[in-house]
Amino acid sequence: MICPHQTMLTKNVLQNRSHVLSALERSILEGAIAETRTYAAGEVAVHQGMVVNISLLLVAGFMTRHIDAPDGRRHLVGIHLPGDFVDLHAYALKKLDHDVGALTDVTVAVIPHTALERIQAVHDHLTRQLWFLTLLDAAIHRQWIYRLSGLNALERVAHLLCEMNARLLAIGLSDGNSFSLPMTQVDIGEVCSITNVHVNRVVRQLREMGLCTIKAAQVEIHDLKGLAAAGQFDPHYLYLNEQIAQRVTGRIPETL
Amino acid sequence: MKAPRAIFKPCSAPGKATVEAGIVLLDGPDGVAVAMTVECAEGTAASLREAVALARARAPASASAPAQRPDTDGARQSQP
Repeated sequence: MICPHQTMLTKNVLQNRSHVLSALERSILEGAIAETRTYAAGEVAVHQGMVVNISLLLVAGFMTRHIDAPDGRRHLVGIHLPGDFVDLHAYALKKLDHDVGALTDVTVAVIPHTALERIQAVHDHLTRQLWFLTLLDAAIHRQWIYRLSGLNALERVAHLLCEMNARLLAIGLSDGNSFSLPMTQVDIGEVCSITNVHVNRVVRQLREMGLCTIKAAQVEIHDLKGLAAAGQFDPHYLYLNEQIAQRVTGRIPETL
Repeated sequence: MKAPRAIFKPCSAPGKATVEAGIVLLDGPDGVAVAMTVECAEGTAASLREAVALARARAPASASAPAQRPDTDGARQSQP
């Protein structure tokens, strides 16, 4: 029996994607949750190299995958939002090659790997959907490589903002044009591999171009088509459902 | 019909350098996005100028030579 509170924990998993969970699959996943935990902003939830036998489903807040370089610089190689499994790949890898940290105060649902083994043994389709989640992570990583290798500073930031808008819209945390983005300019720089000075200049340029404004961790997009064009953003790699995919490039103006 | 694949090749459009909060920002060419201290920018600019002078000095000889990959060095070009 799943209580209403527990049902809330997986509500954002595969929301508005090309692959979805059935009600039964969602309840099975809910049943696999052993407990919830909270982490304060800045805390590391999973350390690189640590042997793990659980995976964490992000329920509320923002988390990062990050790598601390030998020169002391931190590189954010992934941003996770509610509904993301932040370390489902640890089920197969058993230890991570990066840290997983809390960007904001977060709540996570803990799923033991023994529970995932039971799912894998009995529920073929749900297993494939979980596999899809890790493939989605990989698709996003590939796009981030492209972003860093092929785009200039303004394009990188525009691309990131479009991606965050799309992913947040899919889980109901953006209205399609405005959303909270609890990232400092240093954080954005660590995603885009540019300094916070560079980010500051790009943010001003985006405002002067009439594309978007970022103020007090709130993003307001004034020209979604223009921002997508500036960032060469194509949402295909996010595997969104068709309606959301069209909205995030400004092709469908109506609200969700 | 799919467009022909573009290959990586030397940039022909120059990057643009600007100043922000006392830091020199270089945007482009291509996907370059870097922030430099004044000293770093000066050194980079000097190195670029030296390389440009060398490339120009070698241009007449290489104009008649067979096409080379842009990443091959001068020493290899001078070998028989």
